[in-house]
Amino acid sequence: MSQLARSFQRLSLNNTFIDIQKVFIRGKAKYVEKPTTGHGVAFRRIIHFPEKYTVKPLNVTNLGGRDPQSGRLVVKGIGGGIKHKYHWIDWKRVGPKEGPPLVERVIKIIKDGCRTSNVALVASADKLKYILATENMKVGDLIKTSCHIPRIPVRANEGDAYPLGALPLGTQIHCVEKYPGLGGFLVHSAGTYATILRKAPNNHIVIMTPSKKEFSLPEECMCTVGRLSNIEHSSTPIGSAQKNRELGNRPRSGLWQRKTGRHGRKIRRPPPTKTIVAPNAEKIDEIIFSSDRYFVRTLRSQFHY
Amino acid sequence: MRKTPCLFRQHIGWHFQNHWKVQGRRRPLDTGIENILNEKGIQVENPREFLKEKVIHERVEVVGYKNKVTPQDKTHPNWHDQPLLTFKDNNVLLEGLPQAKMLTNSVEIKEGLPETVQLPEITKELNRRIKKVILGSKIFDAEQVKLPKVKDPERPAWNFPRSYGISQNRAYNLLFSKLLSVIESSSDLELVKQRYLTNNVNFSYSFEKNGDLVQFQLTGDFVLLSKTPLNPVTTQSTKEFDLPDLYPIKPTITLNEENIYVVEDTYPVKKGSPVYHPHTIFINFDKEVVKNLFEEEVTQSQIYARNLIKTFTAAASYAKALYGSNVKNLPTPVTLQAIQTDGKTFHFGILQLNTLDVDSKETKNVWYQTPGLPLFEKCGYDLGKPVLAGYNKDVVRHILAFYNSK
Repeated sequence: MSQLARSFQRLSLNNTFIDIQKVFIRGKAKYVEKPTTGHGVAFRRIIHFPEKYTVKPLNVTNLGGRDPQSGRLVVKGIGGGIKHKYHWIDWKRVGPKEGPPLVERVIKIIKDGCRTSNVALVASADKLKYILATENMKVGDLIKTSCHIPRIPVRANEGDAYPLGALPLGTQIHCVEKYPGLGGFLVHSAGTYATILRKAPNNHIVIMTPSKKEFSLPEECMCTVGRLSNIEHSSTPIGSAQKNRELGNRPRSGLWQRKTGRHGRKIRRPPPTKTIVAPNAEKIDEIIFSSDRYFVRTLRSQFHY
Repeated sequence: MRKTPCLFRQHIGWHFQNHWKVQGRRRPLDTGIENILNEKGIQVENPREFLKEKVIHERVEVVGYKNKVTPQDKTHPNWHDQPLLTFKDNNVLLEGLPQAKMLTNSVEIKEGLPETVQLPEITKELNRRIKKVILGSKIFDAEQVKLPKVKDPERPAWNFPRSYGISQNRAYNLLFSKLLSVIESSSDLELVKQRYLTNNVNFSYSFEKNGDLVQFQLTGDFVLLSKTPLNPVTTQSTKEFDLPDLYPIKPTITLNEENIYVVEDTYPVKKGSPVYHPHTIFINFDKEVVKNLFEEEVTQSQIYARNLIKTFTAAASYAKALYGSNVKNLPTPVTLQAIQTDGKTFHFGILQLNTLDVDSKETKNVWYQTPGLPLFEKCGYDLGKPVLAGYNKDVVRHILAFYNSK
């Protein structure tokens, strides 16, 4: 009986309003903003940095070429491989402005899986930190750091950090700051070095990077003397496809053309020396308007959703 | 003709939509007005703070639901602004033995153990029993737990099958408890009556070094106590022996920096107890637990340093409990023996504590030690058969000498 009553209830005319979906949005792709490459953001891994500097190797999350915000694939050819812990390198070599330089001792040279050159663990007073190891650096070496620019260029040893202006012309350097206070930025790759070429007006120094490009930098920019370690890296073949997968690279796209010359070197004159200017510290935030579309009436406005 | 097919040929709405993706986000130009207004004393407020209504959520305290976790920050009742530098069971010192000598103001006046330690000859019967003890703790125990992962640095992608067996801690506990009972049963009864074995006791010793507050903590898995204190080993002056130079490193490097702490000096035995004096401490070295901060392998020198620091902790906490907290140069030196092992390699050390003043130039403490002595070469299964190969009886002779020393 009750079942019958319920079925009568269903037949009643109360629910005449049927929700009709006005616009059929199934199959319509949602717009997702994807970052573009080449802006100093890597899509290989994110590193979980703590607040305070530590020499404890840090945990990483491998991204496989994906943008961590949207989760979309940004870079092809990345994925898999052996997970390495990250050695947090202290890029800022800060020394005294005057007086004797800061002396540190090399404790250990460590092979780091997240970068090509080796990493050196150095200690002074009660602080430990990692820096990039140079070609001939060995355990027990004493390295110096000073921010003083003397009148006569200093005679620096490998691994020492000085401002560009304190070093003689022709010195091989690496880990060069782009502008004072940034921390070592240029020349990090295994076996590379930049060369101090000449002085430029406005207390600038011109250096030549491994790509043969010339940069004019303020003379207060700190740099480390010497050539980076693991020189044989560039001349060592990966060896096998499997080894390449262990390094976290996926198979090539197959689009590279050897014979057409399309991907080859172009004959152009070298770019002029680039003077680097420190960016304005304050950047105004972008405002995203709350409306999701342009307010415009078109003939097909019913399809705007 | 209808106009719409021509007009609809290009979907203008789509263009507007794409245009809006760019134009819907703007970065306003900085006119510098904020600085001008600030100079004139007019405060600039963010309009968003006024446009958006602030919702204040009321916090509801649920009573008796769960114990509240005390936040590890400045509100913690044990928070101090001056950090405490600690050395605990899992730490090692960066510079190893030289650094430990600097911290404890100790010198090595000769290599190896002092002449007072005479290694006794041991019988065949005792050797046979000790071999049984080693096999019993390393192979025949019934514990089966997952052992640490094995990695081959040459082939990092290769995953070895997980092996099961006796954990390091268990093997260590079994080895020492059985070894000591064998030694006790074969020693003179009057001597055994003098000794007393305790488990799981805590030592803690705090002091000041160059203005830094330092505290050493130690868990003694096995501590041998005695009715009479050990006699001093040497009366030689230590003034002419210099401490090592660590330039440019400070001796307190790689000690843990803690702001939440309680400064305490603990000696675990009650005063007035018949067995009050420490005789020998046994230290476990588990390489899965004791690690460098930078996760590199622990060096030989760091293992020696750990032995010295632990021995110093026990000896100094005893001296402080015995002579009071203000004493600097001890009226009679405190002597303590230490045996550190990872279950295979044994490190023996003897510390003669002359002073508690770690900055003293006149009197220094004296440290004797042996390099690592292996108890055996191999102890495991060979083609399914339990094998103990390369048994070294010198280790047992050392342990016996330590047990018998007065």
